[in-house]
Amino acid sequence: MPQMLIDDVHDAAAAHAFGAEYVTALGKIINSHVRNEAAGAAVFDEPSISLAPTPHEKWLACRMAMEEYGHHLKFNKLAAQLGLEDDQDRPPLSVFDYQVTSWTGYVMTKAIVDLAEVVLMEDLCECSYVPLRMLCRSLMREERFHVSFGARTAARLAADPTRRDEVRSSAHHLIRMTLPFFGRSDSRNNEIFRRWGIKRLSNDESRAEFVRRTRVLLCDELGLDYPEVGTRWNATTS
Amino acid sequence: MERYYELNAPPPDLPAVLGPGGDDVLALLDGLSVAPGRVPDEVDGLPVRRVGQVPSALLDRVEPGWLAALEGRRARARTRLVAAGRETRLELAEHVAMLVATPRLEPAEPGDGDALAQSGAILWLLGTLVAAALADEHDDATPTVRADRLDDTTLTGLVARGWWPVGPVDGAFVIAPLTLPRTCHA
Ligand SMILES: [Fe+2]
Ligand SMILES: [Fe+2]
Repeated sequence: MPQMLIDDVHDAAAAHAFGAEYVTALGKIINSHVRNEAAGAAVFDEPSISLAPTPHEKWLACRMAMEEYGHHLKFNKLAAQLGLEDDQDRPPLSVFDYQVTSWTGYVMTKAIVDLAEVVLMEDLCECSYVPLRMLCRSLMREERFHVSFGARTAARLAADPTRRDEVRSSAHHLIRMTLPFFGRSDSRNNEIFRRWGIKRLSNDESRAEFVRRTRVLLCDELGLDYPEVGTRWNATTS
Repeated sequence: MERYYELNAPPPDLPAVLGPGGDDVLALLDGLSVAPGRVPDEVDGLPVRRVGQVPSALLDRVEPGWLAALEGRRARARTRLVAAGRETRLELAEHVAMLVATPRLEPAEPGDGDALAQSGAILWLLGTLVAAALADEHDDATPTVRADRLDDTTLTGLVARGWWPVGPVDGAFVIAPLTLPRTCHA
């Protein structure tokens, strides 16, 4: 692991004092969350409000959509404080190409895609940039609830013989789509993130943690098989 | 216009920026931090039942037709505002409403599913009433159109007075304090 260059960086001015490489690296991380939180709310949560089978579930989906929207804004605020350009026009990650067409599909995005978000945010909970560290720590409670809602509801759906196949196929599809979310195995960006203490884990380590946890969900909790996947990813974009 | 990322309270110039209906939007948001007022006898032609708990079993029994009517009202308001070129006003009002209301409706107990569902229901209703206020969509809950939209038998009036109009259940109109999600341990 590359050696960390800094300890705590308390605010935007201190971040700029460390130079452009540090600010640019922070910007890449923060802006990816700005985009993905907004895309998650717009692509997964909002359309799912109308798919909920009961009012209770509809209102839960509504609350979670608002929370994701709030997360988007809080990351956006950090980006603005750092003087970063509004990056919202860049497309979010490909996982958001997934079309939620059923309540089961939505439940599985909460159990799986939000779990990927939790793995990434847990790493950022020790980030050298204190405002980002504190933000991620403050959001963990909501993100963990999203995942637990997904996992609990998935367990109920998987126990229903008429839904079990859909739970399985959504889970397999989403796991495959989410793996690139962690970035390339040989990512130069990740090397910089770790050197500056922004992240601690390599992309492959984060991906392996995601695979470990989703395997527990699928195999131990839902009694399903796990898709054939690798924990390395070397596509052409980082 | 200033961009808002987090808000503890609505910005003071909100009504002026929003234009027609802006005062009602402010009144709706203020309702989230006032003690509930008097209980009206009737809403929507039904006797009012005030409850201290709204478990999911009760939420699931709210008349679907009433919820569908509200959904329709939201859609009509949106269409009217877009046609009137006030879409950015609607977006701002919804943005401010969600920024102010989401933390104010934060459950006391993390992971309290009932409280989270309650706050989601209130957020949805608030979004609908905010859009209706801006579009001057009158209150479907009242049998007659009243001069004062903030009369305490209208949905907007109830929210402005600290009440959550849960909806019709078994021949009564259920209301609960708006602060319920923050205090309930159902
Ligand atoms: Fe989130
Ligand atoms: Fe989430």
